Amino acid sequence: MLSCVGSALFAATANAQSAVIPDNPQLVTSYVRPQSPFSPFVPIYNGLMKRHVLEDLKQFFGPLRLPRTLVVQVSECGGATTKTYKPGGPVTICYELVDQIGKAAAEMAPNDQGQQDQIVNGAFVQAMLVELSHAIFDLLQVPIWGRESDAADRLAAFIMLQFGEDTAKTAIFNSAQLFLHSALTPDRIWTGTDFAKATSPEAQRMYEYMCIAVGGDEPSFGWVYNYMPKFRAGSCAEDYAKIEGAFNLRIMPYMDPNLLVQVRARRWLQ
Amino acid sequence: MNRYRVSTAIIVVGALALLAASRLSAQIPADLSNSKIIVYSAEGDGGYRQTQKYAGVRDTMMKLRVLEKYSQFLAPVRFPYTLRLFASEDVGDCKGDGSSPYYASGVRWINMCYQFGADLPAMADDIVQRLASNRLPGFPRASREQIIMGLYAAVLMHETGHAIFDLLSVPVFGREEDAADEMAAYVAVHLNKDVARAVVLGFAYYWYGSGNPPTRPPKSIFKSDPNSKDEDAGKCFSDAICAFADMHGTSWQRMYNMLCIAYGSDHAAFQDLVDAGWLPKDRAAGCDDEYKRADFAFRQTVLPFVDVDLVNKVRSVQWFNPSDLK
Repeated sequence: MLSCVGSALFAATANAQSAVIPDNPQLVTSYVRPQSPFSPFVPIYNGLMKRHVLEDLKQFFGPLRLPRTLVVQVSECGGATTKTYKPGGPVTICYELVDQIGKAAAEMAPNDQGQQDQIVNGAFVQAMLVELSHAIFDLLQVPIWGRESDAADRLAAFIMLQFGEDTAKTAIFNSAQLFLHSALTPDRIWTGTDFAKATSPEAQRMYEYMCIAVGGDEPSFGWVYNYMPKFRAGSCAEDYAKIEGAFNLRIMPYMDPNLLVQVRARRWLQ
Repeated sequence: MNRYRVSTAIIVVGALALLAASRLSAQIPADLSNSKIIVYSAEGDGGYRQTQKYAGVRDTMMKLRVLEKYSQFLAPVRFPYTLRLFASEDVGDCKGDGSSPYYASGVRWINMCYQFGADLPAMADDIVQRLASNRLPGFPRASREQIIMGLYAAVLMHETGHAIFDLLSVPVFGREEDAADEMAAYVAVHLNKDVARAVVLGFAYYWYGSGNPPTRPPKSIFKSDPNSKDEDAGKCFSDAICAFADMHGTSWQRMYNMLCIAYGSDHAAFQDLVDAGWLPKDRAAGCDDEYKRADFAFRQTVLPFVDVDLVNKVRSVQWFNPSDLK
């Protein structure tokens, strides 16, 4: 799991004409060392650092012009798997989450390390993009209608679809699988006041990602229709068009178009 | 049939007190109009399509001039494209019992299905009975008419939210159905306090009574039959995973979202929702931020299209009959 997280998000494949994509100067990244040398997260910390995950992130988001510096860190989170982004604060991906993803992947594909790696790749990308989406909404003062957690999911799904079918399939399909796995866990059944949470149930998130995916890339994700009720499937193209329109209006103006082309020309998640 | 018509008419009368200029209401200013919001008449029906089954509802709506008054209520919004309002039993998505008002983006209309509200009396009666028998201890009291009326208004404003997003090209990053609920909540809490409570409670009690997805996981993942013309709804909503496939949130998600926006807008007016334990404290803690987010979104994306002078005129009209708000 450690090696594949390293090869996860941003291990770009060099190609014959790969240009050097500059780091985003406004992204300051940090691998926060676990407090105890005996922490179970030390291997995760080492693995992420070794594979330069955050350095690649700075290139991936190179085209995005932010109005001020944003700290992105991977860190221990005191047992929590997420650390809510707060305006002015850092984006944090928790080692606990990476660990949880790895364990879930092992349960989902116990005899298939390759498949485990794919699941971890996809889920890690998804988590990173969601957390960064919250920061983007804040820094760019993006007006959000609907719940912000869902908005972050939808933006993350949209971004995943912009880098070719391989990236999309790895990120979205494996994220969806992980959501489904979580939803099927007996102790994750939502009842009563669970529905008061500001975040959505895993099953709902799964359908959200699948709908955006098939709405944006039906040739790659047409199989989704077999697992989605017709009353929802019929709206997915429109769903995708809405998030695309929202992105183009409120976020695209902050993108350097030339750098964006270069980032899209790279093969990520290989 | 007669009993059905009468009970439906009662619902509509109660619901439409929101919009009716009763003898106790202030005069609606004559210049409260908007040429881009029209009552869509066909074959001289004045916007109220013919119906036999719901004739009582139609008659009442016409008498109360619901479509005309709703167009006046919306007058402050400077739509760049024409929005049409009408009511029917069987046009478009108004099909069969249980149909509810909807906005159709392809044709830019809000169709107020007559059959909406057929189930409302039973639901409202159930809630009122539960409140009376203390099965909902501490929950705020609401009258049958308040619940019915508030829900009807909330649904209309939800559909108008869709119209606003579409006609004003509002960027919506979240789920649009949640966003439309949010719009309804936001507009409601900017009307006077009594109206706001009626809308919030009507909407919230409706969803409270609507139940939640099944909790037992399925044995297999939901699969759609491509050869079936069925929309899969029946099969899906009995499946603990597929029940979350709808583009709408679940009943209780929608309920809590509404309560949260309300509480975040005005703690004093809605503190009882938290004190009763209806809105959990964990969620309540974030409601100020949720309201501020909706407020920012409205100011950025909708307010530029709003004629503030006309808003003040709308707010000066006593749209509700006060006795309906007790």
